[in-house]
Amino acid sequence: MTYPNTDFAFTYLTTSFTLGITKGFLTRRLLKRRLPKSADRRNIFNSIQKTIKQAILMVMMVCFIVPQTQAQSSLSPERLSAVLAVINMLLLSGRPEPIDPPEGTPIPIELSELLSGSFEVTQDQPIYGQFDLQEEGVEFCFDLSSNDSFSPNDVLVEVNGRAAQAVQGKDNCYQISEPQQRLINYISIRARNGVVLTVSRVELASTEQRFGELNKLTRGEWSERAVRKVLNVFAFGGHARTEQILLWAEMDPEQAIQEMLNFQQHNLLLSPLAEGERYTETATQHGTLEEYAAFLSSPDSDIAIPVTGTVGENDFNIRRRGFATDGNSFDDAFGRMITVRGLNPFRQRIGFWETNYHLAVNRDVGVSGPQVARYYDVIMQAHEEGLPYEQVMGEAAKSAAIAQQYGHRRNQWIESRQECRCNDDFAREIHQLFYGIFGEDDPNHEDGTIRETAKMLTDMPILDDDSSDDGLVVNFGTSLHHIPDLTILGQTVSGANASEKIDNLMRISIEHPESLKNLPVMIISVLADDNMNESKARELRESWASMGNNKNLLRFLQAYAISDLFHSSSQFKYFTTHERALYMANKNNIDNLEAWFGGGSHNGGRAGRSVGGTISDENAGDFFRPLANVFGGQTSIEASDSALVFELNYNTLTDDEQEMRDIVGCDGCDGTGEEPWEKKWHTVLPQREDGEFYVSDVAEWLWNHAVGNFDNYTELERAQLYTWLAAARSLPGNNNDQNTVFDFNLLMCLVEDYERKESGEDDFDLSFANLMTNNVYNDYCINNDRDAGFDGYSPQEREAINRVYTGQDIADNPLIQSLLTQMGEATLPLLSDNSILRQRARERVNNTLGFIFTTPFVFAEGE
Amino acid sequence: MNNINNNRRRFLQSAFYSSLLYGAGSLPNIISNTGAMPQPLNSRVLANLYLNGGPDMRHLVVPAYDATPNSYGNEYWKNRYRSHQLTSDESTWQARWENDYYPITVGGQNWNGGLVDSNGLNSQVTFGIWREAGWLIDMFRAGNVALIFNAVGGTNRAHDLSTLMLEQGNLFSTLSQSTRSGWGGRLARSAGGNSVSLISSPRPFTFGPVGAAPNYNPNAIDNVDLLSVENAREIGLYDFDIERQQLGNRDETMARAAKSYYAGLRQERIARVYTKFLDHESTIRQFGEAIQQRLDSVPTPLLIDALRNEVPGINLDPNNNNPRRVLRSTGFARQISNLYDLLVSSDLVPASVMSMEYGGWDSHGSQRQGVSASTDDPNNPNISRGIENGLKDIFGGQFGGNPSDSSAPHSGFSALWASLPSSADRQKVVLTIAGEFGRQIRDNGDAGTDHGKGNLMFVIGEQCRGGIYGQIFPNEEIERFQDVSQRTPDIDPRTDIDTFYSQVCNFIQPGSGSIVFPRTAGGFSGEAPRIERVGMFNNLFS
Repeated sequence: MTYPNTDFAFTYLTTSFTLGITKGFLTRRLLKRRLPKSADRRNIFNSIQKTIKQAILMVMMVCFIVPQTQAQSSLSPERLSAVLAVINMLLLSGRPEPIDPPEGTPIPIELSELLSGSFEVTQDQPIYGQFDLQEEGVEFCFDLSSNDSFSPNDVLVEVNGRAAQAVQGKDNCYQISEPQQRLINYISIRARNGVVLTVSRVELASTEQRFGELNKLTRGEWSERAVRKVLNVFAFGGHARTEQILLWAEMDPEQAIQEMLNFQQHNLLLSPLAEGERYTETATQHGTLEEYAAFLSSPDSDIAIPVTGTVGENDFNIRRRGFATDGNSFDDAFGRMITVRGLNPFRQRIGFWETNYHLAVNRDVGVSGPQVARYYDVIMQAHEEGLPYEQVMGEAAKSAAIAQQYGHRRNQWIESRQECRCNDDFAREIHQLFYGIFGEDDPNHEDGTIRETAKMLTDMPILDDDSSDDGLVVNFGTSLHHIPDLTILGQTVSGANASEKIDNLMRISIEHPESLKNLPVMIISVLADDNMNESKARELRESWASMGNNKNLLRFLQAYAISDLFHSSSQFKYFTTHERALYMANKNNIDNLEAWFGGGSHNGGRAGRSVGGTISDENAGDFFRPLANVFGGQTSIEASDSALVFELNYNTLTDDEQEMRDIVGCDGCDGTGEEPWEKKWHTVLPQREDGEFYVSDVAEWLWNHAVGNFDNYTELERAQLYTWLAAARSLPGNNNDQNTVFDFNLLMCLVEDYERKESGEDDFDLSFANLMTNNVYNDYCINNDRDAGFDGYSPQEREAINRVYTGQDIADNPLIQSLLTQMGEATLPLLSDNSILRQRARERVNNTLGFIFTTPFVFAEGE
Repeated sequence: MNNINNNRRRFLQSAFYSSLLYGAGSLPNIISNTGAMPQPLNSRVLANLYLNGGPDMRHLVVPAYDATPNSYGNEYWKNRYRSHQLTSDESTWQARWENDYYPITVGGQNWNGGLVDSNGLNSQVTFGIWREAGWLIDMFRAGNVALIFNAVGGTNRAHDLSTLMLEQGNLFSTLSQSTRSGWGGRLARSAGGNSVSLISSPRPFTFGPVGAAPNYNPNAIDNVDLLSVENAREIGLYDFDIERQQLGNRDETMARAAKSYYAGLRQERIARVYTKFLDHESTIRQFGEAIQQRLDSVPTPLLIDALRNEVPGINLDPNNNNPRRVLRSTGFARQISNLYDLLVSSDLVPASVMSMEYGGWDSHGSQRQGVSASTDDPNNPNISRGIENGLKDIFGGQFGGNPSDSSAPHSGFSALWASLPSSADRQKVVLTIAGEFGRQIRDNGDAGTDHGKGNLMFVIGEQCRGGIYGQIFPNEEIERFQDVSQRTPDIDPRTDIDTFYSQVCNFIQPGSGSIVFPRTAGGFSGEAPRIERVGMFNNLFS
């Protein structure tokens, strides 16, 4: 190849160098965020050193090469090659020295390559991945499996000769920043003696991947924890099974997020039916709010709750008729739509935000339940069809609910008098609330845009006839509409009626500078991040703008949900009362009967966790009755700053703890009249090969299930959870067997009193099993221990009951550690033949979950 | 599987370190010793009522009807009759004025000689206060109400932005600055008392600054002295009773576990996002125990109880003589009750600032409703009357020995004022009442009013020098009524809130005004706050 003239060669060289230096600089800037803590001064030093060398090279080029290229009519390929070789040599001279390949079978791999084969690894047959120096940070990942059980300690991984630490959350991914790379890099995998491992899905990928113009999590960063975080924030926790969560964690995040977050009416991965589910219709039907409310309230549906009648008549305390869109419990129907399985809690999460926050309407100001339901469905149907966001908002703006809410259904243009008999309420908020357009720096906003928008919103009465759409749609007229063009947001808006003008305005609004600046930030600030800052806002705006003239909310949210922006340590989100109530219900409920009942009772038994009760108790404003009217419902900050919200949650879970305990079984709740309904914890809790449910496994599962990570699962939490699950009085053959439970403090009071009084006796036995027997608990740490001379508890007992234990206290106490070990090895008789024991076990599981719900860690997500 | 995390928490080693943490301690200003019976108010208190939605105070205070064309009193009614649910027939305007408004002429009829007309701006101007706002009328005549006209707390007609400006006390706030402190929180910090929210979700007004006065950082939030009390008589965490058998009561078992857990957790360091819940637990536990002991011996006064409950002899239904609650809004009634409870417990929780809220003022359509029903039975709380419900709840009732309507049942502040144990207590309480913006001077085609800017705001207290501050009905508005080229005319903002709220701050805590509102500080180099007449608030408090 020859270069036809010196100008081209000159341009090539200078551009190459400039780009090289710039790219190196930018890459390093980006990598700074990703460097592990140990990526260290050495790397920084290398980086600086390299930059200096590049600068020297630039000078060399200017001094020596450029004059030559300009002096000659052409630069031969040989000469160019020689020049570049010199440059490369200089650029790479700061690299760590090459090392010898490790032992084993080499597996060469290129950037962005995912190998399809698998490789067997033993102590004598190690393997190593091999790849050349890349211009960016890379992540090397692989999957590990074995026919035998193995622990992380059975695997030895070295990166370029050094033992390496995997990315947190994923055991088998290793990131190597660009400065850390050598000319040839080796990642060796070796098994300890006797272990045979299979390595598969070997992959080399860049650490700087983008999706939706946001930095995407790598395969190593995308983990179970990340998946759970997405579900917690974007799906009220979701209903996905543990196996599905782990599957998503193993998938490419881009692929996983499309399965997790989409607008289909039914997402059976996110919301699968429970094993043996009796109520299966929701997996294929009733996916809109109108349909769902109709189904819930219909006498034709098979839900075993009376439709009408006097409450108490059949010992049910709820009636389904109220769940209709025009019923007095329509808001409860929506709560049940989010907690039922077979639908799509993400769709409802966004629907809730759209109709209660972003595009809020309020039943307290006269918007009817049927109008709300239609409004909800119109918006979500538009999302489901993948319409650009401005079209979704156009559908909302043209709805009967909005016309009712803001009153412009009465707005009229009187042509003969050139008079607008209008209010300008929605004329303002269609800009401000829908798009974030305040008219900053626009002197014509108040007197121009808003007044003209009011004219646009004329002749929009709500249909008033006897059709099925009566009261539910706007009848766009022309006789009282301002038909001529209007100037809104500085642009001409045309249309024969309000509908056409709204459609045309939406196209203008979505691209308005204030909208581009504010709307993406508004979306994420409410949905996902209470710690927004300008830097994050800038990234969000870039992502939003990158969608050009097809701004799609789903794509934006998917990109954000797998971005390092969302998964950064600076993101946190406090849960509103609604979010927490729904989250707790989703974490408790297993089958659809629980969603239907929602804490309701029958024959003295109950099922399901109440949502509406929590919202009502905490004065958070029912669904579709947002506290701040069109400005939306209770905010995250309001909820978290409210001591009342905390207080009511705490008191409900303590004083009314039976609301958690009683919802594990119910005679006749399922309507069959044959078998009592039992909560199916056994279908989801971890079961070992011996068929038993071990307390240690169940405690961890429950914590992870309800909190989403183990950041705060310490000795303190372990002690409390184990005690709730394991410490129940043993009375074999008695109906009260395992019916009386201990908390950790009371257990320790028992232990200490028994030890104090019986230590040294022949039959002294501090085993956990013995403590739970009749011989011990009846005689120690008891009230009115008159033998010891106390009417109430003794001073030592009081001290033990009131003692404050820290995690360190628990960790440092051998006796407590021994007890915890024993309790962890205890099992829960969830599948016992004895129905009473099964019930006691379920109750203890629910009490444990209730305890977790009292902790701070269900009030927020992040950090 | 072992997911125990032993390394995430660092254990606190010293009390000093503990005191640095937001969630490690409890509310600093709770005093644990309790006594029976109401205690005298031992420091001055501001109660701020935020009128959410932008109230049309030109509905509460109106010009006298005047048949003279082009007069203010004619133009007002001509451009406002629809929002009063009147016809275009002027006789209905005159009847409304004569029947429903209590006339006061500055320097003349019903004008108390002690009232202020700042700078003589309104000499011989006649205005009317809606008669059902009896307590306001009586308090004004007694010289306890400063009516501040043409005031502005939010320069923008957008609810959320103007609200932020009003509550932060900063007319330059932008929506992206929601993490700034509120002026109530800053005042509380300056005064060394608590900032107390009487509603379930604390408003930004109550959010405190970071650091100690006077050198705190107003551009960040630390709510260490914020307490939210929606119901002082029920606040508290469920607890176990150690005098009872501990085994068997599972609710107490759960309470014991949770209490022990939180006490242990408080000794550890957890991520910042969770610490405020630790703080809530500690605060409610301490405060709840203390105030329960107090309020057990202090019954709710009947007048306050009657605001939301049926109390024999109060607000009788004319049809059957049965008692009815007084207020339309039971939520506001609860706030008044809470305010009373905290005022008589000020020795337990020294509160410098209390925050209240009343919504429903965004009256784009039908801002006056239920006319015929309310004419027949004006004290029926179940009639929807548009914004007049709120005006009556807040300002209705009576005060003093010669009330304008001695038959009026005590509404919100009226009941509070009548129930406070002593005159000395009332002397220490000041009320500020304002919405985020005013409304336009013309009504719209929907019998309502659209967003405006300037508005009437209130400072009320027995130490306040009552009267008129600013021009009640600016003459310039006459032209604007008539000039249709001005499509959205509103009340010109002439006085920024900084100028009079800083004086309120000085009353609560001398010297705090220029710290809470820095634009009022001597030597402030930025844009000075507007004021209609320089110095007109210098003697706002006697």
